Amino acid sequence: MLTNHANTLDELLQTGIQSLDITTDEHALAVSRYQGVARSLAEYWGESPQDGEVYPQGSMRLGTVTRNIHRNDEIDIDLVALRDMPKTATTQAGLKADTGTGLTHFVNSRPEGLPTLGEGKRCWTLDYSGFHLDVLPSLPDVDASSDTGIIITDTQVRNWKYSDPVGYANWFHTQMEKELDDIVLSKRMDIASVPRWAVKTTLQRAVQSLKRHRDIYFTGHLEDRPASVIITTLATHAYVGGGALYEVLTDISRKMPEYVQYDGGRAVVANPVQPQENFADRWLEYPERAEQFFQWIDAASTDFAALGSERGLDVVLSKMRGAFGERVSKAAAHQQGTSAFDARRTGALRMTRGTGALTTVGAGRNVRDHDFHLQHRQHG
Amino acid sequence: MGELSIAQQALGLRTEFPASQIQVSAQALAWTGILTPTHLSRDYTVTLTYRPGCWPTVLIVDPALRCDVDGGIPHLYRDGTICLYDTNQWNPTLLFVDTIIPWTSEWLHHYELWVATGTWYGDGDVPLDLAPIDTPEKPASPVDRRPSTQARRRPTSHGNRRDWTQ
Repeated sequence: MLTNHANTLDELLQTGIQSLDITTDEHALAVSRYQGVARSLAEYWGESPQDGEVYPQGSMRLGTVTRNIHRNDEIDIDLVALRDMPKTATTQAGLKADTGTGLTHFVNSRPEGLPTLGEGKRCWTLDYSGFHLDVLPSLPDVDASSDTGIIITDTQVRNWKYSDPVGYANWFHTQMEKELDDIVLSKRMDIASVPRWAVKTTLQRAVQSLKRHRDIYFTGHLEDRPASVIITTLATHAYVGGGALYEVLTDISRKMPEYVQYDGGRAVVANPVQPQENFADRWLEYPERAEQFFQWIDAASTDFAALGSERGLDVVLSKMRGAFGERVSKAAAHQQGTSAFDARRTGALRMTRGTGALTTVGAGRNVRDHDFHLQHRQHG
Repeated sequence: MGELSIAQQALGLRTEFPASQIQVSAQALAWTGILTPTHLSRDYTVTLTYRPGCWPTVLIVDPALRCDVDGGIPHLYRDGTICLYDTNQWNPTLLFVDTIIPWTSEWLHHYELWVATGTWYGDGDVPLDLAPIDTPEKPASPVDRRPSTQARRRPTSHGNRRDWTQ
């Protein structure tokens, strides 16, 4: 429990958004499962593990995994299945179908978790209890300047699409590198024992917050919601570094629209490491989605600002529930309440002169322990 | 250490809350102050009333407290004063500013959390249950509050002016 407005709000937000994280056990399970997929596909393709691989992209690689409120707060993991063959040797449809066949073999082998297989526009999805792995078939982009460039399938596009999820993740991590180093240093983390993915920076928490708000805002018409990569890219461009989570959220949500670019009337959110990839390409096909993005980010900006505008923890928690859902507000309230109780029990609670504010870090009179109710029979 | 006098209690209160109001006589002390448990909390106007030989009592004057759907509030006596301690936890050798006043601030802190969640965290032992709560069809309503299973409402089985010496 900290001593000023901004810190208390930051504490609530940090704890609340943390409840959307993938747990350590889930992370280990996800890795184990996609490694199983990798082995199975390599065997199916008759390749050595070096020649074909399966690796995470998207939120798992960026450290911004956010539980899916529309699937009971389950976890979605994005994977790339990279087949090492030239694009002249296959077609988009052929690669996708072949990957589907390989994954069908995997499912039929009854692997741990007993997943089922579904097909999307670009990906195949392995559905586990509590987990969903989206597998994106791809080939190496041998013409790219980056050695991690790939070309990917899309049933609605004639030409192969360019992408570079590894390069993108490296770019994202570079933007928050300084804060990451500061966190590790300030908390004296043994970086050998604490996995890097488990350390969250303010930028990552802000991206999670935006994604969660988006998921709630677009309830009932999820197909219109802006892609996570659009949100992540614009948020990262708008992030200037430093600041607590509330301050960063209000600041970047206000500025994100400014980073949408325009090219001959076409909205562009370019992949910073692969400019040929426009993350907003679907807005060409569905122009109303561009407007819906701007409406959403405006609503998000308003909702975030409102978190700090009124007094009363119940009011703040109610607004958090509206913006991020009950899981987030409940986790935040629980941390506030239990840490206050623990502080009292352990003699760490102090009362501030003049306001009666309770603290564990500032100066003040020690608060004696007590109960709020009678346990003993009243005398007399 | 012997019993503290009204004057000693008043001095403690003035030291910690110089802007508050105190009325004292030989037989009674009445204190009115403003407590703000956290910087996100409201400012609450609170009164403490004390007569030697009786238990000190605290009333939340403003803003009005909110009840749950059954009309109850945890740890509140029927006469509207708040329940802050067990009988062996306060005695007249203890300063109000070390006990009753911070306990009131704590009460208000937990009260605001209870309004939001229906749970009184101030009694401890509250497990964190994040089993899927939100449903896809209806995002959680800001006014949706579930009744508490933790909070205990304490109707008076005794008068709040019971002589503590008995």
